[in-house]
Amino acid sequence: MENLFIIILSAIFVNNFVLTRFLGLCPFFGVSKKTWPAVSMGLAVTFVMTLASFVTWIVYQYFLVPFNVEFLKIIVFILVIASFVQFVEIIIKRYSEKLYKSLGIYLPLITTNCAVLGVAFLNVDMSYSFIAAIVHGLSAGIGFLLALLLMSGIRERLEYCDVPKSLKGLPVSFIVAFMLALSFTAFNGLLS
Amino acid sequence: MIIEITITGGIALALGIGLVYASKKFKVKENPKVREVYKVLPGINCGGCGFGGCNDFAAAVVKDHGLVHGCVVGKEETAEKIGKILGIKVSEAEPKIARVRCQGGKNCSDRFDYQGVKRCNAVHTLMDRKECEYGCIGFGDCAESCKFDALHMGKDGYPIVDPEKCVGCGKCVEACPKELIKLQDDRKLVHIACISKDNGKETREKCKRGCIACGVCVKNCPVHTIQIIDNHAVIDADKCINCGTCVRNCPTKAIIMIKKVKNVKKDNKTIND
Repeated sequence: MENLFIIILSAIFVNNFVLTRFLGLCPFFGVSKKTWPAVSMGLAVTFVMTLASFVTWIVYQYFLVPFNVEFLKIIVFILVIASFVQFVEIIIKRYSEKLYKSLGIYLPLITTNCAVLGVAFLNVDMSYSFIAAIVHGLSAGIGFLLALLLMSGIRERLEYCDVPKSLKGLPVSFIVAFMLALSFTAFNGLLS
Repeated sequence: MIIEITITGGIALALGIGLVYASKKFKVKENPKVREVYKVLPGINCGGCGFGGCNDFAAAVVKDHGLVHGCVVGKEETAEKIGKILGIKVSEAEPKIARVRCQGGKNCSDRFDYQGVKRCNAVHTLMDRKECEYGCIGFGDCAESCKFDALHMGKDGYPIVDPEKCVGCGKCVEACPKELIKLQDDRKLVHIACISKDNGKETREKCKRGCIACGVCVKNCPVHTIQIIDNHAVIDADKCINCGTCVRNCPTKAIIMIKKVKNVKKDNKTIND
């Protein structure tokens, strides 16, 4: 039984999905202009990642491994994740119009978000047990949320700063992200 | 070969069926009236109403009948048609108008000489520029957001609404970081231009026109519709009869009566601007 505590710390800080593994950059830059959509996106991704870990683990162990077709995981995982994101979108549209409007295009974009597929693949690579896989998915989502929260806080204030015209918008955000990623390397010695 | 196809196909089929079921079960029921209203609108999606397009306006007016006059292009004709669909008398619809609940600006002292970005949202994010933390910052984010030329920064440093041009779209309400602007029924002429939660002494020190919660308005109101909540007066607009007693009695002139322009009544009086 793997140490769950280590998995949690690792996924949130040491191997933060956005700032260390550089996965899921599209929604990271796309939704981080304001804090409210950023937090909603982070929560949506956390939910999807946890659910995806849950479902892909079951599908892998009971549909792919017994038939020796593990290589199919690439297609099957994408299928499963895409369907569940669509399902989440239907639910959000039904229960919160405001949230649906503020997420806009980025919700279906979670489908192609390599962070979600990344979690699923990592669970397989690390041979995590069922509980470990779910915990990993949850922590990865929390790490993503954390990165988004930090980024949106900075970008909101960046609005009122004197940024050179050629760097306004996305370019300066990349520079900010670089600094954030650099600061997160400080966590490298956390779990040695 | 067969196994791979079966497994992938089987999973895909199961998920597909699941999704069709979910989309039917959780379907968002669109009010059919929205579709009907949309048909009588000009359909050019100009955004003049303050909403994203004709569809957005149709959805908004079905929810809030007060917006029936909102279409700037269609004007009265469109308002009548919308009224027929929604089953309301257009002249009786409660058109909304923006009310600014602050007369601070130059009447309220500054904490320091501010040299930063001249936008209300910037100031609000970073610091409190005025002595009164509830009051108008004065850089005009609201006036900038108004597409109908109905909101301007007055000479005293706080925004003034032009009641003729305001259609109640609510963009200024969103723009103000202090939530000072509120949409109210156009026919209610009296409103309290202060939401300061500071007690009387503090308010008096900070702002010349702030409500000091003295209670004179409460005592003199013939229909007992004013209360003091959180150290400032609050009017229950439903019961207000526009008599103006409170306006006359207010020692700091924190209560304002607006000049009525739409649906003019004969005993309409203007006390303050």
